[in-house]
Amino acid sequence: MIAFFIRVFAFFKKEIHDVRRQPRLLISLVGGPLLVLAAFGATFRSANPFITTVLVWPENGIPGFTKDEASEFIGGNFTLLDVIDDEDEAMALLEAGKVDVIQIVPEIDNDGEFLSTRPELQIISNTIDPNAEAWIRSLGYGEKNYINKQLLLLQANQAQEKASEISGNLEDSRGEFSELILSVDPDEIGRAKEIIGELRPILSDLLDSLPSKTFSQANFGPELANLYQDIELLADDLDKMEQALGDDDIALKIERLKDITEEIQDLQGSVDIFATTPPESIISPFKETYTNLRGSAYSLVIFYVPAVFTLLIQQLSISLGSLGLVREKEMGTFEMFRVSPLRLSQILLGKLLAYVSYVTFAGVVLTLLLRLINVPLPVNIIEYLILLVVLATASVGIGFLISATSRTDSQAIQLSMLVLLLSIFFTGFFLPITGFAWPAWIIALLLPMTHAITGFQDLVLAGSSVTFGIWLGLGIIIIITYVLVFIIMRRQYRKAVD
Amino acid sequence: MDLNNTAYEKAAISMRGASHDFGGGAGVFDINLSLKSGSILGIIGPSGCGKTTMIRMINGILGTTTGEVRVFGKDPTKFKAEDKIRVGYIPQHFILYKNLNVLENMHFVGGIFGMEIKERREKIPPLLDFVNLTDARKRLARQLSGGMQRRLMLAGALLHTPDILIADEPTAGIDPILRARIWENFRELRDQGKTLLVTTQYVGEAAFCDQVAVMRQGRLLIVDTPVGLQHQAMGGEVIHLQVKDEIIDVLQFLEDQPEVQRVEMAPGEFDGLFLYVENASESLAIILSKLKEERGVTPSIAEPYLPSFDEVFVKLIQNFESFETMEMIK
Repeated sequence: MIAFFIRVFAFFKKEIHDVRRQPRLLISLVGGPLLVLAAFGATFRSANPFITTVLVWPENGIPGFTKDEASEFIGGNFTLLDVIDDEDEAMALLEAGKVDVIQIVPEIDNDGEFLSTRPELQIISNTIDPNAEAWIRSLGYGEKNYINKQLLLLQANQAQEKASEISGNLEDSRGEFSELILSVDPDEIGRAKEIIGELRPILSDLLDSLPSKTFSQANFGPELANLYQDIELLADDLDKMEQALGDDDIALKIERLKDITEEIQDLQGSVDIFATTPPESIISPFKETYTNLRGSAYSLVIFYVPAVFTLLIQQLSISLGSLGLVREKEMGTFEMFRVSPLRLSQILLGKLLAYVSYVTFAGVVLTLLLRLINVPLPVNIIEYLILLVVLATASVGIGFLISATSRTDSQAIQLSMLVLLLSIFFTGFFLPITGFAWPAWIIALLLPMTHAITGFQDLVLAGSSVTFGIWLGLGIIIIITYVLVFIIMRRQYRKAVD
Repeated sequence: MDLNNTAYEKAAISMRGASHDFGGGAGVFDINLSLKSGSILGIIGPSGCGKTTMIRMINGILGTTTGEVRVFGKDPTKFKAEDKIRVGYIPQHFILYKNLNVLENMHFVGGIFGMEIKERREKIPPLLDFVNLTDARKRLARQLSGGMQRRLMLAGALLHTPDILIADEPTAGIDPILRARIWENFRELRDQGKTLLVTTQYVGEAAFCDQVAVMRQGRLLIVDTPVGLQHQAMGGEVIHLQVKDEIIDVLQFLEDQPEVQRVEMAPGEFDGLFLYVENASESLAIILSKLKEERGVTPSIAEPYLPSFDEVFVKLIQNFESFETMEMIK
């Protein structure tokens, strides 16, 4: 048993000396990753694509906006290079590749006609980047909503002003109808026809000032719907009153006058509500509130650090593991080991311990240095170290598997680069795994980084524990890789020579 | 090579009809040999003749396709750890670690043989002395010369005190002085009771061995002592004579003498003769006496001739090829 550990330790020590004597390797182990992280932290500004645009603004502008307001608004989403009024000039700039997007705002008159004609905000690009295209379309959608909202606000304001004016007229009409009811004089009641004649244009005026009923149902709040309903009811009562005026039944006339008075009062109430409701509530009855229970999210740099850290640790481990066995094969040392009492398990274990020690050391140094860019230290240090060791073990296992299947170190390096590519695309590093079909999930689950990114984010950023699923995922990778490595290498070790 | 059962069983290394066929004519075939403990067997042959394959069969890396190999009476492919530590192996190329210094490499080798640190600390210094590397113990292996690297490999192979040392071309590419030094080490080890199996391309190194096996095209042509090899190559012992006059008369006279098996003109000499006899030292005095008394001739040079091993090797190959041709004609 002691001999077993002596042999394992012989390999452990050999690897430690071997790596230690290669200063460039040491630099790439610790210094390289640190420089990458520092460069990332110092230079990363935004995950959003940088998109330039030119705005084609109509000569007469559009209602509710000034040119400066529009420029400021669009400049918040895009990099606005210029505001011009010539569509052809803008198109030429786009075709010449001098701008990524052009945005053409149509001419709109302030007469409310646009509410039914639906003028078009044209957003044109010739990008080849699907990611940029998605951004452009999303930002364009946001811009359209914003412009629509501003136009509706303008309409709502105008309607509210009119409604305030009409409210006084309604008050007068209601007073006159009340007086008629009290007088009970048939001649006086006959004057109602005259008052109705005055009231009808007021109602018509009110209807004209409001957006169309269909459009309102789709875009405005319930205040406007109530208003329409009350106008219809009052118009109906006015019709009935006119019919009653031809009748001799005084009681019926009085009854109709009372109905009209009540309807006017209701309508006046609705008009007052409409006129005094904030216009934002009329056009957009719901507003959202957002609360982050943690206070606020981290900056993008800090948020991405665990993922970059995981990538570096994984690739360091894979690099060490992938060269670890293939170099022995190339040197021919297996021939010497084969005639010694050394077992394959002792070689693998010795190398694994050395590589994991180096990677853990590098990981701890990196973690401390990350404080320089304000990355928080993990709350649970022990769990953090365990995750680091488990990630290194799983990644060295992938490296060993590469080494076992490679004949030369250049082959091993190529395969390591392939794993790096897979890791960038399929681990959620910057593209969410949920955006892929299920075959990609298999690849994702077989990469240690997929599990460890979430683990380090939980430990460092969320301040929570690593979930069982993450330990399970990494554990399965360790079992699969080491069993495969053992099977492949045992065959090669027994053969020892080609 | 005929082996009786007792010799075969007692031998440190023995092979009986052992072959390893790689296919396409490559491999080693029908090897029979037996090496007793405390001796050096040199395996000589041109590059690609199968020396390394034979060594790999002996140290258990390659199995046999037919026949059997025994080391300490056991099949080396089924060696347990306790059997493996009885064998030391120096592969053909330097396979220790160039980023480790001499001492670290020695500790690594000791470690893989399961030696505890205390034991290693006791055994490494005298071994480094033995191979003359004490002063270089802190030097990285990549900074060692080719000869020093070979000696480091030798020290590493001896660290666990094996009973058998197998060395695959340990002197290849090394200058003659270092080669002599390494053979000196081997002979010291032999004198300490170790059994050594050494392959070499340098025919002259046969002289340092107790037994020499000559290989050609995967087959063992002959196994004998160096003297026996010379004997077999020349078809007996040789006397070299130089006579100034009447060389043809002298040649005819000597051919008629019963001690002389045959007479040839010495290659490259117009007045030299090679006399093939059973025993050179005994025959030399008789022949000189007869020449003086019966022909009145006193040779200017008269001595037993020791052919170089290069010559012996060429002669053996020629003899073998002639034999093969004759067999084919038959």
